Amino acid sequence: MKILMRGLGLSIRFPANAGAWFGRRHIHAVRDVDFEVAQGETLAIIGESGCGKSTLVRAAIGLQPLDDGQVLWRGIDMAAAPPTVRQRFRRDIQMIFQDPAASFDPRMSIQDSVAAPLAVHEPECPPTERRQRVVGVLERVGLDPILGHRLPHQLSGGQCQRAAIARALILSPALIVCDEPLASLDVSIQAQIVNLLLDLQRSEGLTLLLVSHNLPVVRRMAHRVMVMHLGEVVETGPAAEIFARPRHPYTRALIAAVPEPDPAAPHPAILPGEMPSPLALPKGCAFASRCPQADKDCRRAAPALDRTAGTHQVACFKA
Amino acid sequence: MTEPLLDIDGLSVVFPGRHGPIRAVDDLSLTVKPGEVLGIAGESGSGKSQLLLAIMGLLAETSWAEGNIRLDGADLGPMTPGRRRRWRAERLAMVFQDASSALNPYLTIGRQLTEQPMRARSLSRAQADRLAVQALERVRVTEAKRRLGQYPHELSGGTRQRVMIAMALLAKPKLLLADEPTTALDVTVQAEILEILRELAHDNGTALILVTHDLGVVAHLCERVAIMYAGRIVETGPASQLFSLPAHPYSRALLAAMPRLTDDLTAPLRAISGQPPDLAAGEHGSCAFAPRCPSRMARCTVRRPEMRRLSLDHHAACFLHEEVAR
Amino acid sequence: MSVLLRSRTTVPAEGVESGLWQRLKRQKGAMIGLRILVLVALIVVFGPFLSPHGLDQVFWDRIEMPPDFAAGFYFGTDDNGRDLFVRTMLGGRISLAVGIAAALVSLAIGTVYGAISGLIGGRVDALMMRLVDILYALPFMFFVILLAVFFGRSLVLIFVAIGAVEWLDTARITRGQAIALSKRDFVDAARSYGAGRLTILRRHILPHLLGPVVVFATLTVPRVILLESFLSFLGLGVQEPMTSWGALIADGARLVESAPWMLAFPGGFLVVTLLAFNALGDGVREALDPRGGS
Repeated sequence: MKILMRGLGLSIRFPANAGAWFGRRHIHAVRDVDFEVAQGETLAIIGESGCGKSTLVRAAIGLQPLDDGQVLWRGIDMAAAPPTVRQRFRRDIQMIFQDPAASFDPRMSIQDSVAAPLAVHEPECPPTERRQRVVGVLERVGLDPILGHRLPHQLSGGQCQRAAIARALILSPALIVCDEPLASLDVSIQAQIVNLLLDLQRSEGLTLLLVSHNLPVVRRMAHRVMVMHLGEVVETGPAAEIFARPRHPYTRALIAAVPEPDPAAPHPAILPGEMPSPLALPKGCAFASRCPQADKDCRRAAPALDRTAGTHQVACFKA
Repeated sequence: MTEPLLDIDGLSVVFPGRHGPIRAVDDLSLTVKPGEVLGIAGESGSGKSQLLLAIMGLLAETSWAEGNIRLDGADLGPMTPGRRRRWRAERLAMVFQDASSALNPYLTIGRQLTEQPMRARSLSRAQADRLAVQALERVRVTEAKRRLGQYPHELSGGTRQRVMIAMALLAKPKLLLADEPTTALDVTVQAEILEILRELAHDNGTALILVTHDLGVVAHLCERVAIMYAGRIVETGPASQLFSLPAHPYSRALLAAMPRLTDDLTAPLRAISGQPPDLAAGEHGSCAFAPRCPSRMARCTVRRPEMRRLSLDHHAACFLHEEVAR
Repeated sequence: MSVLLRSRTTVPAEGVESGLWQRLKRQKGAMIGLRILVLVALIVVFGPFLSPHGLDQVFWDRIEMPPDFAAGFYFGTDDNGRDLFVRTMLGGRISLAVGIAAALVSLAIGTVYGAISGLIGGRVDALMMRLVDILYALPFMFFVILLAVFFGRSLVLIFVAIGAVEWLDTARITRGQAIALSKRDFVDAARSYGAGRLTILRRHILPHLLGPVVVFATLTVPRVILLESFLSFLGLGVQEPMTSWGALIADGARLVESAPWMLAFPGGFLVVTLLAFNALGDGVREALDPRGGS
């Protein structure tokens, strides 16, 4: 298995009181995170809002500067690479966003937006070929090319997300980062997009880095899962194992809180207690205030991710 | 049988459109009994939010409502505007999707919670504060007293939504309307909000209409469910029946399209083909779901199916059930 | 319209150019304003040809005379015996020319400055904006008097003085817009596929700034005309025998009791022009608002 992208010791901080001249405080959005994505697989990152999952993938694609650590693409440090090399990497990594309509310039037609990455990376591509490739890629995502003449607001949410996938595909990338690709879509459309992404992965050997809070979808799409809590990875492992035998109490709580569309199923489980403020993280385990199993040890020291434990790793004293 | 608390008959919400009026809610009838928990589920453009706004009397100025709404035994139509507003205020309260924009950022939680009871029941500040603390404790807000002095931005999203529910409770409504109350929240917080709403309905006998796109939320909170599509109810019935034996092809497809943690991963998700209905296109002579329906028949595109009774409290608007009902 | 009905609304596209003129045509006030402006422009350009008199031609027998159509003094004469009609027309040319030209120059400078500042951000942005603050803090009159002392009174002076002040507002407004735009998803999307800063500025930022800038232009022109009038009123503006509406109003105000027409005609033109510009600006703003006009 070939590792495409690897993150090593990634840390990202945000100033909590930007603009203050003295006494600046920081929110540690991502704290010492390692990850790797192998060719052809889907790595899903899950966790509550504010856990740093979106920030992490934005850093992976270069939209967010790192405070510490490095992202290796096919073994080469992206930040240290010369601009021409980095620009070539940019072709290989594409992204689709949560709100597909907002990710298109409202003044540009869909086909112009879909062709825009070509204009950046292959400016020598003749207009006729460019048009052909746009039509081809629109057809591949199941969008009638005639819709390419429309403006983003003239498409439905599902059509827009298909167009966004088309724009990501036009340079034939190796990896697509999907930041909550379903969150703003209707249920009936979500299933279409899930199936489309799965089909594309199968036919083109795409690698996906998926951020989602929709656990049933993650279970369906991901090969491996990484669970984040307040900027840290608390559990990572093969998807089947994470869902069948979650070992971190936080992962268990996340799974138990999903309401199944079946009145006969057990009610979603409540996770009591308050999440600590990211500005005042406790000395011990950050999940201790909400953890049913937490004891003195958990509040005294923070458990580290057991990085020697093979494919299924967990950061918990009780696991 | 007791008289329904809310009785909606032939309600339409109409917006002016470029190609004629757009009916966001189209000739819809619905009843809610006292203390009943009704879930209204639908996708974008189904008109579910406009229906709530019409009940609340909060429709946009560009739109208008047609049809009758009876609330607590009185027809709202013939009332004077002032009386209608008071009648609603004494019986209805609403919880919005986005608590952070529904709360005033410049006032403390305490001020916002006590404003209504102090005015409506002419209480002193101390009495109102006591009530507010009680209400916050009911919705499981920790350190309720301290919260009164805090501002909305100092609270987490889940706590803000609980404050919204507490505020709605203080008005002592007979019917609580909740528009996607958990959509903006994490699942870990959502579960508790659902639990709180369930308790309220159970303990106070407050009726609840929950509008959501999430069938999972409906399944765990509601006794009765109405599924909306393109401004109309296509199926309504007890949750237990509707989820186990959905009668309308749209309800079936919607349930099948929802990924579950118990899914068999070897089978693909059964997506609904096509796009959500475009109300502006205005096809009133046919079933709105027909273009996407797997069981479409010739008559579906010519006529619109009427609501049919399938069993005691289970109705669906589909030609598949027309013969059965006769 | 159906966008309004969705429970989770998508962002509507803002002002698509093709529809802009159509939507503007539906704005009654704006169209009246536009017609008035065209009319005023035609009058001040071609008006002087209707009168046989010159700009600085003095009629010693007709000092401070009220309008007299038979003799061709449509607006009367001033206290130096010059034909007020011709002077009002020629003053209008100066006022409109200075107004439009100074507004355009200040808008161009301000837009580019603001967009660059907002897009680059960080320290460069802070530095550029502090410079704007410093220029803001300079008292306008002090600045103008200083210029007048060094360079003497001239049209160029008015031009420089007004331009130096007006671009500051534009820069601040466009910077705010550019910052807001650069945080939008579609700009992130462009960054994610490797578009450079210049591409983003050219393709995604400047076209979106066009709308607000056009609106701002229609509001800046009348402000500049007013500023010019103000300077001329104080005697710092155009030099005799050249004139402008502001200078004429200054003369008229001095003699309002004995010769009210000297204030009424240039003042009337100024007021009508300003109102027309404001009406047009309001209309353009409405037409550009994506939520307006279905």
